[in-house]
Amino acid sequence: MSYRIPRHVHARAIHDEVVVLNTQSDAYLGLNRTGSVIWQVVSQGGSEDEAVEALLDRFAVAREIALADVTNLVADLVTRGLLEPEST
Amino acid sequence: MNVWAGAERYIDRTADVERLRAHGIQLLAVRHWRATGRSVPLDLIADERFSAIAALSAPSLLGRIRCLLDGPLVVLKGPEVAARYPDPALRGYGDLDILVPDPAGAQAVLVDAGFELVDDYTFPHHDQPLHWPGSPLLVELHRFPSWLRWMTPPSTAELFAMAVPSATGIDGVSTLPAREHALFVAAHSWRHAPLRRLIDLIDVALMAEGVDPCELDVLARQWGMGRVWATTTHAIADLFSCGDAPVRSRAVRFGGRHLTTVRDRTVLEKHLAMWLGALWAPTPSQIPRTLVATIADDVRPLLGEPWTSKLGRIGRACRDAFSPWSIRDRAGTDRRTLS
Repeated sequence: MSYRIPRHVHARAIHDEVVVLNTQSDAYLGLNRTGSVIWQVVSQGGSEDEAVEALLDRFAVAREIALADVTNLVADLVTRGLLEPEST
Repeated sequence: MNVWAGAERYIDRTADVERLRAHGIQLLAVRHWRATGRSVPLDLIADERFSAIAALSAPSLLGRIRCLLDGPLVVLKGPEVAARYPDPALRGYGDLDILVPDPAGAQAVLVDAGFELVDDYTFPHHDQPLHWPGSPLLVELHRFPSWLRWMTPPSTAELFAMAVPSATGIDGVSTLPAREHALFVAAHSWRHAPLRRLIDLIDVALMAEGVDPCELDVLARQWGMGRVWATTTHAIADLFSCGDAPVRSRAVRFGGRHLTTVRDRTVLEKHLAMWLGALWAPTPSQIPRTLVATIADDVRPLLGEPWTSKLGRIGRACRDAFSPWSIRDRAGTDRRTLS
């Protein structure tokens, strides 16, 4: 599945982190280095599998852990309204 | 003049985060340190994150306010100054200063819509800041900009009439033209204390960029802040020009050592500097009464404040007379109620 950033969500990269703001609720979220890599991939339409590969490229981490990180973060971002599934 | 190279010279003079914060240049330090391969302290990373969130939040918060209020909205400082930085998140700010024709009425409308009055202010007044739940920024509504007491600035109606679209790009939100804004930023800083912080001088330099210096001089004199403007621009030229040429400005040599050494003024120095700022009144005859009025303003209670509270604050100021001002700033309500 791919995702997109809703119109009311704005993000800003700061060094190796990203902060994401939902302008409807004014809720914001800071993403650490791992989260930022996942955000960069999925917010540009990349799939969760691609985000896992990006994590494996960047960090010495087991595939299962990378997969769990991606799944959990994407679910959290969707719940917070910071990401929405791309309708096909 | 390259203010960034100048700012980096001062950043290189200290690694003390508190001193950099006292001059508002800690985010510029983060950028400089990263560019030169130095590690960045964790608490400055937190400052950087907050500033990024503020920069993201400001347009949406202004949009929300625009939807709720009728009439002109003129944003001062904050996002307008930050827009002149290479990255707006390099210029941190914690509130939005907005000129409106009727602050009390606007405040009531915003509170009805869900904004909350900031309740940790000791003495409620009509300028009491507002807070939108979840937003990191406070909102301050003003009827007048914070001018110097001796100035003859344009009326608020004139300011609304001359306003130009805000750098935030929000429809219906305005700001002052660069020329007037540069003078306002200089006056506002001076009101706190002459040659207050390095970041204030950088702000003024950026707001004045691209504006004819002669026009600025003429307008500054018309507004009664010609001497303040001249001192400010001389200080900027001295402090941020290329190389390590000796400081020529008398004001910087005698009252701005905290700038060249990137040191925070002490509580005592800050009060003295604020009082002596009255010496820049445009005519000699205005100086004595301005000086008396400035000192009186500083030593008497705020509107609604009992004398017991004021005397307590004076006592704390005496106790902390030789402590850095910013420590006192962060410690309690003094900064919020006095600024």
